[in-house]
Amino acid sequence: MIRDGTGQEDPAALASLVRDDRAEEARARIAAAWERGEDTPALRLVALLLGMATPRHEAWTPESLAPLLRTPLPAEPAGRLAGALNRMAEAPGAEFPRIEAACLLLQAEEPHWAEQAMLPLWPEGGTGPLFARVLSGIWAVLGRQRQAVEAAEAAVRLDPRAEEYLIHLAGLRLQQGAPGAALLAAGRAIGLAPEHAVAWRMASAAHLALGQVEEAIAASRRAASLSADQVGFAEEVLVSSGAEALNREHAPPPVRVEAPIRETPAWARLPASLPPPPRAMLGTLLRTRARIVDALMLREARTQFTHSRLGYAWALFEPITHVFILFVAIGIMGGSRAPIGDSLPVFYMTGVLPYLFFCHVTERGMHIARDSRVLLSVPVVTLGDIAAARLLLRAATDVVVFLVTLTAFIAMGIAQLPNDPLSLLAAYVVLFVLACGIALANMVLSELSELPERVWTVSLRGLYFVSGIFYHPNMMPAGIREWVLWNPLIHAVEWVRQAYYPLYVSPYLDVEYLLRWALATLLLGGFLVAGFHRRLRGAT
Amino acid sequence: MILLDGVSKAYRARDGSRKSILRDVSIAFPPGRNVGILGGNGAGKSTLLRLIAGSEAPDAGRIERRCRVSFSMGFSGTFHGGLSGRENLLFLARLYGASPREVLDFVADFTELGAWMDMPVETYSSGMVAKLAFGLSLAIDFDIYLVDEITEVGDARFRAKSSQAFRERLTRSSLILVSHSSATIRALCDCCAILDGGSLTPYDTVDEAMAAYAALMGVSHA
Repeated sequence: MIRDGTGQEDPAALASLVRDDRAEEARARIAAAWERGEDTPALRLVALLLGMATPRHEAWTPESLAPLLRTPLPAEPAGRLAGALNRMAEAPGAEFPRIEAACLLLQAEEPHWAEQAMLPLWPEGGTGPLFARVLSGIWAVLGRQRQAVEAAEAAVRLDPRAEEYLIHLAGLRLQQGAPGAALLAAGRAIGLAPEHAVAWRMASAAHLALGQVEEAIAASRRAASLSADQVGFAEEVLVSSGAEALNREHAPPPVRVEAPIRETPAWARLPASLPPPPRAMLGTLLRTRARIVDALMLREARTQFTHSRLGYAWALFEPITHVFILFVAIGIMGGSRAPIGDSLPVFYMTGVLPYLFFCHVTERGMHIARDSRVLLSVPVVTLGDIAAARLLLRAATDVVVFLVTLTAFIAMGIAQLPNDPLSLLAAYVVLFVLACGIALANMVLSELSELPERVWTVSLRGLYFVSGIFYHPNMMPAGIREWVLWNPLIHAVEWVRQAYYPLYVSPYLDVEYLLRWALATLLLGGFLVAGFHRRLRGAT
Repeated sequence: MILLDGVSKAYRARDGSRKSILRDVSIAFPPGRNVGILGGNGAGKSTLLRLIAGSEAPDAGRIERRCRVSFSMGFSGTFHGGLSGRENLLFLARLYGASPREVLDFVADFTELGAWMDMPVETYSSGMVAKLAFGLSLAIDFDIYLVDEITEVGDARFRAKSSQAFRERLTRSSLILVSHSSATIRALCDCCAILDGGSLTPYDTVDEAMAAYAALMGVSHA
């Protein structure tokens, strides 16, 4: 039935035989024809395409091919086809002559022949991505979707970086009715070539098929913005998505296909069980903190007075100036005898210095968090380190100033060395704890509002008058003194004087009361810091 | 190894609304893995790095660092303008517990700043500041380096030198890199995670992540 009147194999009939399930039949027929002694160019062409050994080598020319093709090719492609066929005959295992021949056969509307030209090398492996891609295209033309997808996937596997293969795969997946897979492929193509309009078009079509209207519109607009060719498509998407939305209003809710749950890649998984970190020794912890606080203090010391040398001088001379202003002022008003000891300036010094120490430390607490944003961004540094460094440095500065002032007074011959240095030190330590508690509270409160700073500044002025700095509690009326003795600062001043003067024992000093205050302010400061820790770190 | 266990972090935006950067994120950054982090503008990539570094505390959850984690590479914000390059280096070396002497020698040699080391940092050009910061990052032996966009400084020779020094360091340290440049991520990372809408999704390969990222960007920013 496939013979024509002349008894020869008809090329068109052979072509129709060359389908996947009848290639064997075609081979048999060709072999039979040869046995019968028939030998036509058509037979030899098909035999070549099928990878059969031909009895006689034929040098193909455009002219000899022309009658065999369904659609005559123009001269140039016909010449290339002849060349490709000749190379195929010479090297049946080479990929590229077959690819070229297949593409040209497609052009000549002989997809079955094109397929046969490719099949001898498929899927034996070793073919390149382009080979798989062309074969996929041929199968798509032949309507063999499943095989087309397989070959397209092979092409992508062989060259994952070529966006065209991915776009082709996305198109096939769409035709196949697998928009999810299509979207994945289109997404990968976009990843490789973000400016590829067709990739966006594929993504849009896939979104539309998935019912993701907004995404579809967005992607189609992106495609249209990249290439004017896609403008029409974008409009179509708009129209059809409108229809889609209408449909959805009336149709029962679509069955949503759950996206497969992605498994977390192994590298990113939290280990099921993790040995607890080795506990750092307390000593190591303390050493680390000490190292950090030390570094911060050094930096603080180096930067504190960079803006004004005058500020440094002022820190040094503030107490002495203060003492002499008091001396002159009170002298003018008529007071002239020191309540303790022989020297008024020394009496004032023993009040002014602890008072200023207290002021300086408590005021230093203001805005620590706000000023420390930059340092806090160093992971090892905590707010506690910065606060410790600042307050310790301020206290140390004041202690140095104390020593300088005392030395100056001794040099002037009006003062002597403290009678009980250890007790003096203890007084200062307790005063420091008291001041630190308030400084911590100030640190927190100043972050919340501007008010606390003003209130505290005014309070310090007030405390100046009720802390026994320029007078002795003895000199007060008993009724007022009773009230003034509630002020912890007056106890600190009394303690300093008791430690400094050889024969003075304060009748009012209540160390335990002062300690209670110190502890209470420290707890208050600690609680405030704990309560507002996040806010302190995060506030801007 | 850095572990994030159920970590959440949100910001109060200027208009008063809360913007979630991370919602209950659990992920491990194991040693020996160079991880690229992709995310749109404002997704919170830099915040994520600050959380990992410990510069910022999470709202909820736990971040555990079982190694020495660098400050953000090349970050010069902690330099004090009034202090000299040398003083700044000494300070930061002390903070990180590195030998100040070694850090100084390394950075001086690497950055070739010469006499500038004793000038206040505020007199430096921005390129010099960047060199100093980069040199410091390399001078301290961190196990994991955090990099927020690789910025290149200096002339071609210095860039080549830095790049080589950095790659050499990556043979024994690992990297968490935030970058907009897919080429940079491809060149330096072997896996990737995408930060978007409060979740941090890990991917096994850079290609997979890039594809997912492209699809994602197409959806929300086209």
